[in-house]
Amino acid sequence: MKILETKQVSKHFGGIKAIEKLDISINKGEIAGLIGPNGAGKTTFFNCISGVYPLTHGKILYKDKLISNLRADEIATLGLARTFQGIRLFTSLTVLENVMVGRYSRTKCGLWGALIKPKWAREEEDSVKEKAGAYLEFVGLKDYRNELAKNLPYGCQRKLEIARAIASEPELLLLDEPAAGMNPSEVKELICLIKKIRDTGVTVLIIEHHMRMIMEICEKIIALNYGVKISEGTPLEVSNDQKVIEAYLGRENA
Amino acid sequence: MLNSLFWTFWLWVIALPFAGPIKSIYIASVFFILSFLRFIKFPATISSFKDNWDEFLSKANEKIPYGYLIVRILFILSIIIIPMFLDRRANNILVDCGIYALLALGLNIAVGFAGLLVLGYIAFYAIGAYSYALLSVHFHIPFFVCVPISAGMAIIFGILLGLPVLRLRGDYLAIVTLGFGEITRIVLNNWDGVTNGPNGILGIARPSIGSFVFHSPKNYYYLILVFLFIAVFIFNRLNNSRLGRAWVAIKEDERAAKAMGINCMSLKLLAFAISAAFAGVAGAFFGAKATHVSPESFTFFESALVLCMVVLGGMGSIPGAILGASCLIIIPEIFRDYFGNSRMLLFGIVMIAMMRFKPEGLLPYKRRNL
Amino acid sequence: MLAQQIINGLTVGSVYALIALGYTMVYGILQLINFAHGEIYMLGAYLAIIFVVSLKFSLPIAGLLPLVFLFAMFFTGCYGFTIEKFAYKPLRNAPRLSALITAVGVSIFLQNYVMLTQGAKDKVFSHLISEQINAYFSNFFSKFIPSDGSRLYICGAQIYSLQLVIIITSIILMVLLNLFVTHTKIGKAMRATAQDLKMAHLVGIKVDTVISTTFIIGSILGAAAGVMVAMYYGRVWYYIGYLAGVKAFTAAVLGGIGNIYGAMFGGLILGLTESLAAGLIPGASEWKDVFAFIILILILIFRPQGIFGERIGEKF
Ligand SMILES: Nc1ncnc2c1ncn2[C@@H]1O[C@H](COP(=O)(O)OP(=O)(O)OP(=O)(O)O)[C@@H](O)[C@H]1O
Ligand SMILES: [Mg+2]
Repeated sequence: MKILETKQVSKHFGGIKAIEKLDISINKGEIAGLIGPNGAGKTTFFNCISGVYPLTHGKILYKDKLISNLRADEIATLGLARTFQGIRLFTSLTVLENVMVGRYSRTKCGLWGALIKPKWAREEEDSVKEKAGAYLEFVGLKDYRNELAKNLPYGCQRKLEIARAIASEPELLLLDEPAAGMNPSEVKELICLIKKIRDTGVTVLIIEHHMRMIMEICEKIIALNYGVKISEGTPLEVSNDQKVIEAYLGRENA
Repeated sequence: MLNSLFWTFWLWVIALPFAGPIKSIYIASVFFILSFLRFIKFPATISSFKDNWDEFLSKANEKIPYGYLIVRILFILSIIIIPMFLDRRANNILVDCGIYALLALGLNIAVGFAGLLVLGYIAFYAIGAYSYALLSVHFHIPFFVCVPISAGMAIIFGILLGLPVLRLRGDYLAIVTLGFGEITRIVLNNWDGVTNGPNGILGIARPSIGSFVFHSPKNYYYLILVFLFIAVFIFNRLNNSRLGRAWVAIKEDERAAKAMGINCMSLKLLAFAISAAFAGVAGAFFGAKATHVSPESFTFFESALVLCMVVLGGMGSIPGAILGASCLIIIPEIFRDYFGNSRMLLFGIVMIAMMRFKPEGLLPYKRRNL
Repeated sequence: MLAQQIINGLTVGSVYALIALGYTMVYGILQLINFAHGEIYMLGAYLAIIFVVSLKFSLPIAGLLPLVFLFAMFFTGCYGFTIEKFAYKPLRNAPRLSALITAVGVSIFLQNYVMLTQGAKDKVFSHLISEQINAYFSNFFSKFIPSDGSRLYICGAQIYSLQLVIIITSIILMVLLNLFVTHTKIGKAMRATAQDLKMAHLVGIKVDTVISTTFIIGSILGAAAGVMVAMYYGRVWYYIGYLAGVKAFTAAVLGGIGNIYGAMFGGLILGLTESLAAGLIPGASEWKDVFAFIILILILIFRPQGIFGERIGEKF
């Protein structure tokens, strides 16, 4: 069953065709990889899905529902969470609070709830705290709970971003280069973490330059170059595809 | 050091045409002294005082049963009995402090929580004040009925202004609200039929409960104290809620906030409206206290003053807002003879220096450990 | 009547345009609303009057004017440079809110600095000198344009020769600025930095120098506007920078902030609108200052990128 489907999606920035007529579908429950050389349009594609940019052309369906005309926050509320290529944490909040913000779309305490604090609001706040703590434990950041997010070491910031994203109990998780800047042992942990997340029933779409990791965890890989899909298939198929090798190494070397 | 000397000389030179050779020396030497701020841990003393105070409190709580509670009660008692020992003029100043603390708290909701720089904040204060003034003079509606109406008017204007502008970048909001402040003042000044132009509105009724009429500064002190307690309560509740976290998220990184499902536009509008409401209430109080309002009380100067209080105390911090208001009202009042007209000049310097040396303010807000 | 309002509008419009350039150039590079820029214009106006008043020996107008301009431009240039160095530079990596608050602080500081050193009342040129200046230019223009000695007549409009001077000088300055940014090395570096500051830094452009230069040039243009306004009205007040600043900012937004040509047109359009509305709608002159703000709000609602602007939205 398809959880995400894009139809002829294009995104142009003035003359730059960052994405051009992209057709992609992701099945529920799989870990899919999105690869391509720098500037291929991968991040732009994520931004299109998550509603950061309006599309120039095309449609995006999430669980057969059209989402390309929705605002970013509406899309997030539907259960589509993401992380960012450059880490974007709420730096002056504590680690726990960052994850609590991640629960925003699953809670509903508004102005009156905050001011009057009826019983349900207090219970909700408690459960947010409790769940946020659980997610921190899930990604292995329990010890940093009350640290300010900006004081975390780099690798932990990445994990925190993931914890914040999964705190919203998404069905589809978009990860933009989660392994960037990590050392081999951290990458290993990350692979475990992503598998663990998938095992809870979340579909994962992941952008990564780290080929070994992609090959290891992805069931399906999509390769982009200049905004166009050049290959799609199992890791083995894609890694042997002549077009992909050319895109990465250039025609000469291939 | 040599560097410092060079820039001091440089400042002396560029101040020459305005200040003449002698006064320029003062200006340059002020800079020279300020340039050493970098080496001193400038107002660290105050925050460490606060740390020590917090520590003292928690120790007290351990040693003495209900220690925390006792200290709090003592504190509240002292606030309550202070005006008994002060003369009329001093009490008046305290009431002013209260009004500005209310404004600073309100502005803090926009600036400190949601990161919305509002430069024409005083317009909402004016709207509140005139709402009460007009209702009181023409329809004899009592103060306590008018307070929510004033707040409501401020909210309506806040929403009307905020709706188109809040979806834009933050700095546009700053300028548009500045423009709005100016428009408000010009309208109050020129719309003679309703606002009585530059002369303003006289004979506004004082607040009263039953047959008791608030008239002395002491009365007003207790009234504003009640308002402040309510404001602090609201501020606190908001700050430690789902909304408070969402606001900080918006302030820090709007795109990431959206990715968490936060509807930035409507939450910003909410912060803006609540902020306006605080100013509306403060305005109604001001009208009731002065019994007379005129456009000259609502200049850009006032907006800048409130902003300076927020910045000085620390954005998003309750004690900060109150400290900021107290400092900027009381200190110039004490040194009135020395400062004279240079009050505003110092505020300017305070804003620049705070942003450079201690952007989090004197009493920064600390995230709680949850 | 119409011609009269148009000339008046062009006069204030070119003043707005000159100031707006300073806003736009700084915004283009740093995404900072240099709130204090209106004050720079005020400093320029003051400097002109200070210079003329303190000159005890009298010079012929032809010699005096260039000196006034040079004096005012030099010192405001220094102020622009100094403000950038002490107030904004340390905050370059700080949140935008901090820089904006600093800008407000600088603005308040400068206003009160001038008020304290020069007095809270307005400062006036001696009558003789304004008249001399006007006569000098009338004399000059009367060779081309019908005149009665103190005023000129164009299409039935009576205009002061200084109005023409303001319009012409502004045009010259804008042409010079255009040549500067398109033909000099530092001008090109400025445009590159405005496109992408980080990238400019990477390709070896001295970004700090570029930013300082931008502030200096913006200040010089603002000063020129100030000097001309001081000559035209013969008086200045420490508060003039505030309103002029906001209006010039409106002009910059109108033309698309970050866009130099946009600022020029934005200024003219704003000046014309204001003066036409005030002149043609009865009873509107009291509300003149409100127009600018209403225009500002309307543009921001309907066309936030401005009329000519293409630099939309946030850089990422
Ligand atoms: N906001 C924008 N405005 C203009 N052009 C953009 C914008 N965002 C991306 N681009 C352009 O679109 C193209 C695709 O960029 P994108 O960031 O999607 O690449 P990427 O595949 O994520 O690369 P990387 O592996 O380096 O992250 C690039 O040429 C980039 O310059
Ligand atoms: Mg990318």
